[in-house]
This record gives sequence, C-alpha cells and structure tokens, in this order.
Amino acid sequence: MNKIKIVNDKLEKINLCKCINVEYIISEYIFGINVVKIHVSNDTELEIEIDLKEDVRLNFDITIDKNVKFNLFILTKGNKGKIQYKYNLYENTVCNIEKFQNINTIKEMMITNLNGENAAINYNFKTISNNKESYDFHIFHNSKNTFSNIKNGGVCIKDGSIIFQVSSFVPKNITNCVVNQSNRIINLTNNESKIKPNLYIDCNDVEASHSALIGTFSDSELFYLQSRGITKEDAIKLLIRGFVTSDITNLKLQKNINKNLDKYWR
Amino acid sequence: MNTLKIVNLTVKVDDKIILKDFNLDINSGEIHVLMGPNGIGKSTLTKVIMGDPTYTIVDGKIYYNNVLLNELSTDERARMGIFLGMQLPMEIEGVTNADFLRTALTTKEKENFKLYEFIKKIDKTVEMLDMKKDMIHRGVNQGFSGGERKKNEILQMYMLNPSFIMLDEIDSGLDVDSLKIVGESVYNYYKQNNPGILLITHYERILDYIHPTHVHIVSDGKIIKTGDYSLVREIEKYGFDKTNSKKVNSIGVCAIKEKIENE
Repeated sequence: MNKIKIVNDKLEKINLCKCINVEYIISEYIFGINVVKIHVSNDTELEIEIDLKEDVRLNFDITIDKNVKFNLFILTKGNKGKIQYKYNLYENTVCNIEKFQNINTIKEMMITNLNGENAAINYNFKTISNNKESYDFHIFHNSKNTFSNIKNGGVCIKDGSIIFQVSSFVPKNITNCVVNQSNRIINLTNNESKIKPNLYIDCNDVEASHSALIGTFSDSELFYLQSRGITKEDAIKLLIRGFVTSDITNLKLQKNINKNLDKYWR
Repeated sequence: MNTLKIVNLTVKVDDKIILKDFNLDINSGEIHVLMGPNGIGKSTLTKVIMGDPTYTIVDGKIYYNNVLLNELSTDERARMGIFLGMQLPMEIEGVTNADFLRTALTTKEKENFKLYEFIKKIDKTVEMLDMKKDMIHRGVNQGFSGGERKKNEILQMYMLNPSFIMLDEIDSGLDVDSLKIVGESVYNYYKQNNPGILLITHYERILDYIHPTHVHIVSDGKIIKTGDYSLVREIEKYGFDKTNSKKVNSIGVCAIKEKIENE
C-alpha cells in the first residue's frame, strides 16, 4: 500500500503510486511548522504513520480531485505534537478516513472543505489518552448535496483527558446536505473531558444529527458479559477493545490498535 | 444432582419491594415455568439469581448446590453453571460474538480451552440454530433482529454448557419457524444434559416444545399457585385473574373441605 512515514521532521515516501503527489516543506524556523502537501488524482488508498518523539508542528494540506474515491488510514504515536489537517474535496469526491492515535499530548485541528456537489467525508477516529488531548474539527459544507459523517471515540486512562470540539457549517441555500456527528468518550479517570458538538445550520433543507456521550461502560453491558462467566476486569478490557476497534476496517490499523491496547490491557 | 434453592427471598429495587418471601426449589431434570401478568417480579427473580447489582436482596437466601449465592459476583455464579437467557439481550459495540465466547470459555476452562474444538462446536451450533454464518464475526447482537438475538442466547447456552438454565421470555420476538428451532434446541439440550430449567413465558406455544414438569403462577412477588401442564391450559382458557380467583375462592370457602375432597 502507498505509505508516508513521518518521524519527527523526517518524511519517507514508501511505494507511492503516481496518483499521489507528496510535497514536504520543512520550516526554516526552530518552532516553525512543517507542511505536508498531498494531492490525490485517482482512486487509491494511503497509509500515514506519524511518530512524534519531539514536539513537532505539522500541517497536512490534502487535496482530492473530483470523482476520486480515497481511503486514508492514519496512525499517530509518540510524545507530543500539534497537527493540522486540511482536506479539500470536490465534486463527487469520497474520502474515507480511519485514524488511531496513541500519543502523550496532542493538540489537533481538522478542517474539511466540501467544495463540490456530492462530496462526502466519512471520518472515524479513535484515541487512547494518557495525557491532555484536544481536537477541534471544522466541517464546511460549501456545496449542495454534500455529506459528512464524523465519528470520534476516545478512552481516557492514567492522566488522560480529551476535548472534542466538532463544528459543522451549512450556509444558506446549500441544500440537501447530510451532517452527522457522533462523539463518545470513555472516561476511566477522575479528570474532566469535554465534548462540544456544534451544528451551525442556516438552511432548512438539511438532514443533521449529533450525539455526545461521556462516561464509563453501562452496568447493563457489564452484567451481560459477567453473566457469561467473564470477570469484571476482563469485561472492561473486552469493552475497551471493542469500542476502540469498532468501525476500523483496515487490518494493519487494527493490528496496530491491538498492539497498543496490549500495552495497557494485556 | 444440581439444586437451586430459594428461601424466603425478598427483593427491592428503588425502595419498591418486587419479590416477597419467595420460595422455590429446582432440581436437575425439572422444568419450571413461571407465568403471571407483567410487572410482578418474574424477570426480577432471574436477574437476582444471576446477581444483577441493580436489585437488592432485603431478606432470604439463594443456594446453588448448597453454596450461598447472595455474596457471589455475577461471573462467579455463571462459572458455577448458572445461565440466564435474557429477555432483551444487550448490544455490545465492537465485541464480536467469537471474541466474547472465547473470552468466556477461556475464563471458565482456563488451560483446558481448545480453540479447534471451540470453532467446531460453534459452527455446528450456528448451523443447528439456522443462523447466518457471518454472525459469529459480527458484534454481539449488533444489528441483530429480535429473533436473531434470542437464537444468539441459545448459541451462548450451548457453548457455555450450563447446568442450570433460566430463559426469560425466550419466545418473544420469534416467528413460527424460529420458535420451533429455539424450542427444540432447548429441549434437545435438556435431554442431553439434564439441567434444571426455569422458564418465563406469557404464551403456551413455547411449551409445545419444552414440556414443563412444574407450572407456577406468580402474583404480588410470590408464587400463588402451582400445578402441572394442565395449569397452563387453565390460564390460556380463563386468564390469570380467573385462574387465580378460583384458588382464592377454594381457600376462602373451606380449606379443610378442599383437602378432604382431594384425598
């Protein structure tokens, strides 16, 4: 599979096909922002692996041509970082993103521009938080008949805390859009986590939904699993594994997730 | 011989008494059916036996093979061989049926767990229950219809091989064909393994397949009438109220006379 591997400020391109063009611009300044420009011109898949051992700032600028179906799998690990992802989608572009993160501290922003009719983004994100994590998502429906489905899930352990701020925008006269947000945080700590789901809709002809849930697993779920002889500890492990791997279809990403989960819940 | 013994059990939830001085003994090879109107504590009884922390035992004791269950956790009770097929089985996001059952069996059987035997048994049971083969790799009850969920409960029962089985309205949500498959599967398990069974139902039709040895009518948190299969026919014919009131009248008129007549 097409792959980009980033370790701190070094980028490696692995088996990239012609339909993926990657440009990497390293900042000349000490605390500057490195920019990764990705242009996708045909149906394809890409895997991005990011390992931030030092405090690195990265900007991804990802443009997907019209009529292109693009599957993106992102794995982020390491210590600390600030990352911005900007996705530009055009007419009939479909972008499916599966992403897993296990990093100590991260501040991240995602901007999605749905610029052409029938542009669609399916975003499925899971994280295990050991420390402070903050995510800010902005989804702009700039054209009619556009679709966004944003699913975020996080598990807080140790000193972990998560903030999900998700804002979807549908301006006036941008009709027939579908806007979905779904956010859930499993908080296994006493720290405070927040979800701020925002729907800024200025158009009557829209199908929109949002959900936000912070808590632990329900007593009913635990009772059901325990009623089959599974100990409470194992039941919680099973539920965490299920929650973090649900909707992740990429086998390599699944394997990585399981490897990370084994670190905490073997 | 395995025996479940419930002695003077009083249970409350949210300060409301649901079961009061409830007594019941179930031995291996016995099939007990609990019938009664909605909301009188039938499902509560099964959950209390299974150790659902939602319910508080105010008084009384539950024993299984002379071991007091009151202080045991749900999973400990399950590993003793007690199984509850639930009325509304939970949907567990992302946890596949295979992972779920493998974890349950590994916990129970430890180093005796054999993966190949597990796969063989699960395939055979899925086929017997006429379930879709891919369901084993799907999330537990995720996207399952009511009927599929009930079949999944029976699949779990077969895999876990319990010695005492509680089935709470296992017939609800089943079409005629599925009811036959579920009913016959439970009865086949009974014939092969001789467990004690506590069955809760509102309808007679499941009893065409699972023939009860004891039938109880529950009202106001306790058993008010016990009989054999003919009691089911009586309930079907007269309803709970009339069947109950017949009993009340007989006691009210003259209990000694009734006893002499019976003799």
